[in-house]
Amino acid sequence: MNDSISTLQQITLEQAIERSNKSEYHACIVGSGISGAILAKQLTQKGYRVLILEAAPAKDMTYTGFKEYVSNYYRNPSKDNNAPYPENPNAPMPRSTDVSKLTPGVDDTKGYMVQRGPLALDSTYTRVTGGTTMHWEAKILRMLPEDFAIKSTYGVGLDWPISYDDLMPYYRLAEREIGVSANVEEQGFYGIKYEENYVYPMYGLPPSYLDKIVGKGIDGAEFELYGETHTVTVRPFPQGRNGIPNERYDNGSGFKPVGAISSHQVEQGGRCQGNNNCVPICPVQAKYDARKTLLDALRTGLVDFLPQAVASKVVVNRDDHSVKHIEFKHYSSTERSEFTLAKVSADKYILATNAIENARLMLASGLPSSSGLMGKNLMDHTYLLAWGLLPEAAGTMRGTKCTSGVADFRYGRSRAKQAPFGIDIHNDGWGWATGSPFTDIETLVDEQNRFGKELRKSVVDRISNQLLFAYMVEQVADESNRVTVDPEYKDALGNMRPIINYNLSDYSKAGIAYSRETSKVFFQRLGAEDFSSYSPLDYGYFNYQGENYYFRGGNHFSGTHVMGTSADNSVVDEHQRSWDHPNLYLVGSGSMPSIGTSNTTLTLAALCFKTSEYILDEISKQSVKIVSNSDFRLAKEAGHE
Amino acid sequence: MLDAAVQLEHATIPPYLTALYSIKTETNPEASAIIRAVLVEEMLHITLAANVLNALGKHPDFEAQDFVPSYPTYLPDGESEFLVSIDKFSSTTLDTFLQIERPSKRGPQLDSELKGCVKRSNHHVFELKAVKPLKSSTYSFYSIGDFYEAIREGIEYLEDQANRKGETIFIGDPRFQVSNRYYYSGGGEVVEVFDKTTALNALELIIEQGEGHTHQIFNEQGELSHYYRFQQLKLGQYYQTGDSPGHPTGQKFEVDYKNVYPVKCNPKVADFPEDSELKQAALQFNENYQAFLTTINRAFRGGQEDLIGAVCGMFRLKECASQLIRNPLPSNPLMNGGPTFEMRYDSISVKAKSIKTWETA
Repeated sequence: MNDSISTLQQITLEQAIERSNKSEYHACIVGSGISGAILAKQLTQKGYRVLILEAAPAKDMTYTGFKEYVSNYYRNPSKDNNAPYPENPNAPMPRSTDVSKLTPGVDDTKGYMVQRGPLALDSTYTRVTGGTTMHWEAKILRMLPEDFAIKSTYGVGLDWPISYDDLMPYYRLAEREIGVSANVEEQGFYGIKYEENYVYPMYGLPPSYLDKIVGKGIDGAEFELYGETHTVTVRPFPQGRNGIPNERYDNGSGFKPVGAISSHQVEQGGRCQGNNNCVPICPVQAKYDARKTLLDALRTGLVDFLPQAVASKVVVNRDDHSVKHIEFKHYSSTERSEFTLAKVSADKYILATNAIENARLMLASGLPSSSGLMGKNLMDHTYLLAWGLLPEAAGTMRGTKCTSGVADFRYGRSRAKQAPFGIDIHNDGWGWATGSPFTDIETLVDEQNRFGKELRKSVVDRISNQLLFAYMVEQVADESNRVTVDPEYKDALGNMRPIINYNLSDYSKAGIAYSRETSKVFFQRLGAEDFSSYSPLDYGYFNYQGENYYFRGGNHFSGTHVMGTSADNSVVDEHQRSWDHPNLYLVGSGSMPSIGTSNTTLTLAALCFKTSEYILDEISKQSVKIVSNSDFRLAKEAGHE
Repeated sequence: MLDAAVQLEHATIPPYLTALYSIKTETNPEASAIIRAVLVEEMLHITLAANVLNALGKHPDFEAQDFVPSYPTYLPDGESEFLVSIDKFSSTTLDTFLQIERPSKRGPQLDSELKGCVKRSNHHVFELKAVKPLKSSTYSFYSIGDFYEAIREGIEYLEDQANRKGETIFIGDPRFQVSNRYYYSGGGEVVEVFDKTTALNALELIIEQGEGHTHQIFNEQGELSHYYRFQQLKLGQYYQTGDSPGHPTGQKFEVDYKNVYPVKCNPKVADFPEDSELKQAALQFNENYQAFLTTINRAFRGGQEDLIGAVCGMFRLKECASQLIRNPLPSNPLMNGGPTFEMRYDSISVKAKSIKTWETA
């Protein structure tokens, strides 16, 4: 197929409304990130027609559009998560650079997310086609089986209505879709299991030289924790980026990696080259992003893609509370705030905008859910950073952001008392903690008066020895951490902005404090000089049992429309279907009752595959009307490409 | 002849690479993408030709004395011939690229004595073996397409003869086949070659992607042939499905020939003053390129895992080439340096090292 421009069937507002009026849409999906893309792909490949409302412009589906992002990133003096993605007041997004220390009792309104505290959360997401997978790191872990039942096992947080076993076949589909590179024999630990003879689509990426040095130093370190011995092993992470395809995949059929979007012109995106700026953008598109899935959906010819359409209200019928239509604001330019207010209807409605935006839209529509839990239980992974200087050059800055880490504190009895954590070994030096290498250069020039060749050498010497551990600490559901809306705070289109209440519990803080202790042991074993310091002036600062710390957000927003066993204890059921509104699905990490110590994308993608199966079943029961026409044959052919 | 195919495919790489690196960063995204795409496919063609050669029990020799031609070098274009240079990206360079990739146009009166060939008075100017049929001192192939046709026919003929005796010409060690484990790109997959069918498939892919002998813009896989990829730059517009040759209807764009470093055409190490940084950089580039070819040689002789490490070599080459391309000649500040691709064959150590590793592989 000749990709890119021609397959992206952008329709006009008028066409969308006309088709909606003729009841042509089986589903209306709000958002084109990974959740929306998976749902769109699964539905269209079975012959159903969907409308996607995307808040952002869609030029990033073309090669030139993508290159502009890469150029923006190179040009932008700030290299934060959203540096490549242009400001769009009509669909604004949070940026970590907007976050500063909060004054108690005063809302901080500088950024798009209004920070109500008591702690400031610097997590972000990206409102562009492809969503936050455009800037994600693509470390892609399964959750541990015990993570699904932390309430019943450890008495903390919330249980899932389903188990690891229920999700296992969908993990497999998600790993196929994303094209995960990993070796099963390195990943089956602490209860993680796979179907017999399962192999990942691609072989695991090689560990970095730094990983090996750290492994040599800390492997075998033992920690006694609530009567259990935790023995440290440095292990590679599964990666959502192209490596070596495994010829044994799919019973020997092998796996075909997906390269860059609009590849007929660029021949890119084959193998990961280790360009170290996976976050905020992989310059060669070897990293998976949701546009790859979206393009598969678009190829069926059954997707109507309407960009610059910001959903503003979910309107429900009075009698059965089913969704009647979705109102949205269609703008013609990111430069202006003029818009056309329109509405569309479909058989099913799927909100796939992410945990913050899904809850924000529902609350702005006056639909807090009968449980009252909409927007509550906001979770994120809490990061503690610890950084030191190794006694030898360790090749820092080589490889992708992060290739290995430690999983040995993710499980066990201690979870009743303190938050568990995973550990990332960062290949990009102290960047996250200190702004290295830019700050290193400032120090060398301003304080040590270096220049020319000597400066170049000093920069290399300094950075090559840098080591940063990022501790990813679990946060469990807590209703007081939440998203709300208030008519006082609106964006350029007049949509209410999300207000965030965020705090860390003593359970979280105890986990963070313990993680810091392990870092001291690691630095000691490695002979590294510990440079970590946590200033009370930092926006993430807190004091716990007399010690100073600061935390960083993990960009893993979740829990805001939590799934459960009844309309009393949750917002959605195990199929991510709203308890209150029978034709509405709220999909993504917002449905997760706990997040364990795994980055959320793989699990939310697996959930979306599960949900798509359910929706397909529902649609086929209800309607046979359009399935037999020529569109279906077209879709079938496309599906067999 | 297949070793000549590897040499021929490689001969396009120095000109394409130099043109690509001469484009200033963040300018001309279309030209960069298109040249890069063609380059990647030339590398695929090298791999395919090497696979066919290995299947026949032979190996390509990237370290042979005359493997890298001296630029400018001649390539045939029908009745006439043209020069290929190492040069900056320009309208002229683009014309040359179009000539390199021009679809074969058979002359009406091709000499029947040697199929696909014409008699040339200046036969001797062709440095590349691929252009000259074996043992001929006067005939050259009419076009690159004719050269590949000859290989194809040769393989069919020889395999049929062998089969009659109950034998096969495909006696190579299958472990030497480079698979998609070590090579894959956005378009076009490596074909592992074990027999006549797979060999013909591999050759077909080279012909189809390169010269596009069917005169179609898009092949069956929806891929553009090299000629039409380059033609898009000439016309400032992308092709899309359904377009007819010469009339693209896709997205329009502008090519900016000004945002290009003024690389000296066909630079030689001798052009750079003794003790100059440019000279050091040029020598360094050539040394790295030679080491890179040694690695590749090993990879195609059973050590294919070396292709992974070769990626680092490519980054190193880019860095070296950029140093040359972005800095002016001391003698002429309006002109910049460039990689010379001059290999040294007096260095015994390089050769010895490669042979040793090959034997242990």
